[in-house]
Amino acid sequence: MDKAGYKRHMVEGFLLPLALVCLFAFCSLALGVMGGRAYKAINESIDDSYGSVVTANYLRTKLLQNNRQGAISIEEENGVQVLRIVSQQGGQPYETCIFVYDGALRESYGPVGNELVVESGVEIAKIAECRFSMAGDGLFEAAIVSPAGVHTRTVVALVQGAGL
Amino acid sequence: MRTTYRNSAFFIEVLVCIVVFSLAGAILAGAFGKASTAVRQTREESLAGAEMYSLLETYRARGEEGLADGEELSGGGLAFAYGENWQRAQAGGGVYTVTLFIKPQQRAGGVFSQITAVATRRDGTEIYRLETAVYRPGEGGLA
Repeated sequence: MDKAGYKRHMVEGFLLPLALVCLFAFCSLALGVMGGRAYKAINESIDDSYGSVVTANYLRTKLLQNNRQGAISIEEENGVQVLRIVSQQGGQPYETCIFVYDGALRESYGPVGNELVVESGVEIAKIAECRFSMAGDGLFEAAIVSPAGVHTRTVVALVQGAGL
Repeated sequence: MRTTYRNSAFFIEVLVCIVVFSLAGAILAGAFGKASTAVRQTREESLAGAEMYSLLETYRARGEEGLADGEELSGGGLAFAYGENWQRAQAGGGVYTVTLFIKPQQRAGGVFSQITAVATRRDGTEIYRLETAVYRPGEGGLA
């Protein structure tokens, strides 16, 4: 084999396939990174909107189930805003306390008058913030902010005078 | 002659490899893109739906007075602007808009309103549409 033939053999038989393999490996890596990023973004988005949508639906369901005169009130306990829903269980009054603590919406259920221990609340969904408000005409509003900063509102028209 | 034939075969093989790999890559990249778009649309739909429900509930309790912060459109309807994260934005601005078209009908016991709620992106693309009716007995909020 002459020198030119050897050179061509090196290029065609070794360097070109090697370059091709390297190109494919780089493209595969880029695709893998792209897929990983897409998967991460999708997961984060699902987790984030899951928290606020679950919170909105949970609050709406709870309020509509207990939309009775005087059953719903908003109070402040130890610096924590608490949505209190009173219901009857076997003739005894029980209350559901809903509040935000440690980056999550939590629920605590027990007899009326029990001291609220925020640490013992059952976690419902991860959210950054949830402010409750109730207007004089019974229009309840919860302003929910997800950990990523997405705002969701839940407005429920309560029976006039509920909790006021 | 034989060398030329061998060269052509090799290059065709390389070309086929590149084409197959490019096609597979394009299909995968397209799938990633579609997945991201589907998640974004789902998120937009659920957040738009939640906001529409809140606006309708406000209307149910307070009537059109409760929606006074909306921008009245010339063709009828009330528009509410929202930012990227669905926080309220200045009228005419924002990324998303929820528009309510309310057709109230006076009935013997109150007002029966047929409402069409439409959520759109800034470019006019419709995200979600809801057609519903709200009955407000008597005057003012709930009876």
